[in-house]
Amino acid sequence: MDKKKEVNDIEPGPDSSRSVDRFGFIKTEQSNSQEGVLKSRSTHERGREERRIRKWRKMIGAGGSDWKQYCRRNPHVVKRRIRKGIPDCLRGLVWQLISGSRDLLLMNPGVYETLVIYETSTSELEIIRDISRTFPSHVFFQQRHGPGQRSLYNVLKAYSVYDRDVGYVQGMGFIAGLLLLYMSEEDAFWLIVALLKGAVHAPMEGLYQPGLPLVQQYLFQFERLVREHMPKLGEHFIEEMINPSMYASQWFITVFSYSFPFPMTLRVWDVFLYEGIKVVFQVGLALLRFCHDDLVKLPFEELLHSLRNFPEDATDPDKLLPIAFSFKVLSHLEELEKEYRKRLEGPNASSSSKRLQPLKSKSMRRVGSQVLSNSNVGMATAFKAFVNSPVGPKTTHFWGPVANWGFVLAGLVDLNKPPEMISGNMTAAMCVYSGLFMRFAWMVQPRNYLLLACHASNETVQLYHLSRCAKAQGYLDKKVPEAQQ
Amino acid sequence: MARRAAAWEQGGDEYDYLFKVVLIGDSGVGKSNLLSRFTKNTFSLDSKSTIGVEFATRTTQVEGKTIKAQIWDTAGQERYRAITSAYYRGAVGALLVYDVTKATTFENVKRWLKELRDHADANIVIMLIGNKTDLKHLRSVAAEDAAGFAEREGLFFIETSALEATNVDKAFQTVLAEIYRIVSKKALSSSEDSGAGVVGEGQSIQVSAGDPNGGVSSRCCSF
Repeated sequence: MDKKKEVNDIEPGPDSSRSVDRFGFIKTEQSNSQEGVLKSRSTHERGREERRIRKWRKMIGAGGSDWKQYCRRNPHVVKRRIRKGIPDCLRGLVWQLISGSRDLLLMNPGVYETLVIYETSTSELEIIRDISRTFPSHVFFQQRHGPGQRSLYNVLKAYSVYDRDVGYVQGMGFIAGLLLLYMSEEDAFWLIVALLKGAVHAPMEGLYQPGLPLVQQYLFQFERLVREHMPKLGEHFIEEMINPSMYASQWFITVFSYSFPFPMTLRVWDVFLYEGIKVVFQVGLALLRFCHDDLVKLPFEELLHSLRNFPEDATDPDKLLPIAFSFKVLSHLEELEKEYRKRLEGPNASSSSKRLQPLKSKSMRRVGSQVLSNSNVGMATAFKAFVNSPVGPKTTHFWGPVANWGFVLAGLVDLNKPPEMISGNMTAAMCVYSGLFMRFAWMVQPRNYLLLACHASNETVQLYHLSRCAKAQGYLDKKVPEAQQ
Repeated sequence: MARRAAAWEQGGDEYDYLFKVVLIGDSGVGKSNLLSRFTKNTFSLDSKSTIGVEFATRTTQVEGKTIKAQIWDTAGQERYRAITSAYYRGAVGALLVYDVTKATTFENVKRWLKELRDHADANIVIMLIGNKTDLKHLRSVAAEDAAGFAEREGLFFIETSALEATNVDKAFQTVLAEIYRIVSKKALSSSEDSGAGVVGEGQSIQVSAGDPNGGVSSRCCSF
């Protein structure tokens, strides 16, 4: 513990040596030693790294042209590769592809420029006050009024105008700053829009609403997950009166970009952009699991200190992320969300639920105003989500089943034709065929309900024809003559 | 109930009383640097803005008693009130900070006082702090105005510079001494007429030396 304390007390002052790490952060003694380790490893891993980059380049195609197709065909490969980490040289582009911000950018030419140049925001002073306090130890953002700080200001101001209900919230700066290290101002702006308003999905939607209701919900969910996955630690937290708002609110508000080592932040963001907010829960749980045996022994103050200063080991993405992915949280999060809402709306609901009431109406208004003011973005999102979904009309998984409805139609047309014309063999084959396809549609990922419905219908129709055929051939009438005799 | 107990010992760290104190005020007035100046004697020109809450402690002497101050530093932005106001509960002291170079941060002091009166204990000791006095040429809030306001509202008042380390210790010490004064007086009065515990109980300053967690009941926030 003591050793850790020493390391954390070192503050990167502005007058310390100007050498920077490979991400552009001004080096402290701590990161120097880390860099040494990286170097000795790098020759060994360089070949592998190059192979990885080649694979990724092939996957995304020139300028990202093949990305969507690849994602649809091989969602599992994409997921696996993202979890291994996106190559740093492609990160900026891939982040835009995963989040869908590229499409927003292309659909809204000139919008960003207008927001930056012509609009004014009521949050301007607030933003300015935080500019120099965002990644102050990074060379890009260090220079007063330098290009980094100006870009940061522009992006944050533009967003505060674009989404006036949210405006500017402390913490957004770290997200914008992180993005600006990998892409242009305009790209970063649309990526923030994609995060908060949605393109492919909206992993941060509602997070910055007044009252931060989602953060409070997440903290509730996180506390319960800790108790469930690590009962001993959960019990210890209760005894020591530690609650997640003391250490985890910034995990959710900035998605680990506020106070964690940069290599970890990047790897978390790779996965977060693809898999969504559950990743924050998983990584949070992994941090606690990693330090579990130390944490359960500590009293209040030391405990809180440790929860804000994790050891270097724990924040190594190669060690941390596998633990994170071992937590299955998705279905549980949904249950906990329901429970949380019930609590808020329950008879004993206190001021907190009152707080939420105006929020609801506000968020409704937000959606409305979004559609009105940015109709091309707002209306496009829902439709786009369908169009671009892995079973959407851009894929064979959509048109295949549509064509198969032809079987059903043909079968229906034949309903009134004389049963003698039915080929028993062909109808039986159709029954088996549709049965197999129903199983396929059910088992395939993602589950193809359109195909399932189509073949269930066809199965019904064909079974009916088969029964008519059987009746005509006399297979089903055996008992009737006996009865007549 | 406030009571004096034997010195608590925990990991070699002894104290007679544990006081929970909150740092509040507009964003960017220097709360975090006041805290680091008081607890670690450091100041950082390029510190990050606070997201959520931060926490630090320092043990100090007041009239021969060892007092441990447990200080919660809160994010200043309006949007964070829902999270930070939970930390007011159970606090026995509050340092309400404004920036002497920014008049709006002083104007907002009224709103912060209302926050405290809505969420904190009625007997909380409040110190109004005008920070950044080192920026002499930029001053826009006169010390007299602030002092007058503090007097009307019944607050302590001091001007500080976290950068030059001026009055920072004094600010914290004054608050801690006042809390101690109230606590010891209360302990005295309740021991004088043990039947009239109502007065002592009504004054909900929660200080307990025996149990380090006793004074910070608001740790369990009602989320």
